[in-house]
Amino acid sequence: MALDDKVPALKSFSSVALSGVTARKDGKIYGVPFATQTLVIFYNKKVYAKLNLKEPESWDEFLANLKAIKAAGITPLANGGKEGWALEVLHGVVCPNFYGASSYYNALVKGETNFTDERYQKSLEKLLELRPYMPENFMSVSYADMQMSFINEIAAHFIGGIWEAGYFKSQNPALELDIFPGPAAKKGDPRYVSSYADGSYGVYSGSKNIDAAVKFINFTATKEFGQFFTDNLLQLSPVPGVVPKGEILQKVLKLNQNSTPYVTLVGFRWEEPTGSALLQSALQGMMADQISSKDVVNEVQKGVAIWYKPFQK
Amino acid sequence: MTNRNVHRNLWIGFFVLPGLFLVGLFIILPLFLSLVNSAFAWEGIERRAFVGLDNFASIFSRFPYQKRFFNAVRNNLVWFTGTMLLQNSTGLLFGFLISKRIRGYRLYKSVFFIPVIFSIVAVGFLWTLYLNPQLGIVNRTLKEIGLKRLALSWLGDTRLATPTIIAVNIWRWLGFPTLVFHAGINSIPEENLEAATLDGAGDWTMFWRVIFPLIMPSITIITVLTLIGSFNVFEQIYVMEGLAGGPYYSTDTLGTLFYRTAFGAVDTGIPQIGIGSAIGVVIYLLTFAASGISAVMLRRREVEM
Repeated sequence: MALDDKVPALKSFSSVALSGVTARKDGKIYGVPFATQTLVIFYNKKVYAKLNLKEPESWDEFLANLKAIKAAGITPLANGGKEGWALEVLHGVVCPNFYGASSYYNALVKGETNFTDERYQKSLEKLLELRPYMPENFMSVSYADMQMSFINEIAAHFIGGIWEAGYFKSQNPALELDIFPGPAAKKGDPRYVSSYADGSYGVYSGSKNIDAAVKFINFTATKEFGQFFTDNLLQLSPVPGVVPKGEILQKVLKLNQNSTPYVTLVGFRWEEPTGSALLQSALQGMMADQISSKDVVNEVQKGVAIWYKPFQK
Repeated sequence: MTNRNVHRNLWIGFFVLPGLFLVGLFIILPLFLSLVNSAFAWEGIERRAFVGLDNFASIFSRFPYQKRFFNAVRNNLVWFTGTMLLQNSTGLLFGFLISKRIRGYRLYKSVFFIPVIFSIVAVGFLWTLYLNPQLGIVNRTLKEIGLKRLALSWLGDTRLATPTIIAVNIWRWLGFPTLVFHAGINSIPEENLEAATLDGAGDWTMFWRVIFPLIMPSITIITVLTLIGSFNVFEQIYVMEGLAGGPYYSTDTLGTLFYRTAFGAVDTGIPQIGIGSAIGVVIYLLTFAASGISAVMLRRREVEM
């Protein structure tokens, strides 16, 4: 059921949050978003302190940190390639600062450029530079292995979504973690983070209790609910005015000032073959040296162009 | 028909009917519905226009379905070849040895058969842990005994992933052909084997000229079951690599392709019931044709005593 007139509070939600609940067919809003996610780089503060490292302010500084950690005998990066979606997340953290973030995304969705754009292709090659710092035989490392190695302080960095923060802390209270956004090429340049609306509550139009349902859904758009949600689940609530407790989430709020849509999820995951599914498997091929970055972008473009009308010129 | 015949036929019908009903409801009916579904276009789970054979055309000629379909068929053929060459021939050898009552044969009989009754999901899950490149016992043992060069990326290397899953499957299934062949060999009358021995037949001759022709029915059964299993294989890959048949489609089979297409990969895919059903129909036809042909061919070689 369309909620535009039923939930007035929706008007004050951010555009990132609303883009995940707006139907493409009629432009109406069909849900109240309950969480947004942002993709970041987690790091182990104890390792940084022990090796006298600082949060990197450029891509090269980040690689230098990884190199120093590897020299000290610690696995620099927890990430692996067994699960394609984890590679898609990796690309969501690393690539926006190299493909031109929202200016590329906006041109992409309009069809003014496409996935074979050299900016996007070159940005994927940055992922290859991380391979020496991933665990040995990283293509066999699954998502659970990644989480486990960061939680157990075997690996010093974990590139992933902010949703991990609460889980990491609950699994190992002694873990001292912090986050920083994907680095830009040049020190001082803005650092963009991919973000997206994660889920929403909707009302079934055939419900026998429409009034009660609408009343409840209005509640989910209130600050009271948003605060309860974020305090208990340690996830970012898109309800305006909700201030998350804890430094990490507050830091993410600040990082979100430079948010850019998580390209394949936000723009191209709504018809088959989805941009996400195509990219995930193709990135596996690239990270395993089976195909080149050019093959990856060609495969994604070929698949998405089947259904994405702005690409069908 | 005499009264007794009618009476007997009624009893036969009575015993067969429940099984027939279940097969009809859970196997034949869904097959027929899949055929119907494959002839329509779908939007999510809502049926749209009738498209005849267009979904099949997609599978055989359009990107990405064609690429994925033939990649999957290739993997299924690897499954069939690997399983026949390694599992069934080893099962035949073990069945033969157990029938010869070599030392410890009673122990071997139970030990080989125990993994067969394990849940395939448990087997896949545990082996995924054992094959973990850093922490799994396989690689750790290899490193401890100085074979670090063999501590490979079992489930992560596009060339090793399918053979690795096949190996795990063989570990689990080997007891089954062993038992079937053992039973087949045991059912050969003693006189035939004694006569052959008296005629001067050694083990090799005994096996190939006497035993092998007489256990053709078992071989037929195992071959046909392996064919069907190889075309339908799904759980092992789903548990050990995921629905996308990774890495980079190297473990993708018709089973995972069908499931992913019809129901949509979790989070990243959207169900395409028309094309998925078409894949299902193709799997059925391939399996039916292959097992039918091999059953006929093998039946002809069966020898009666």
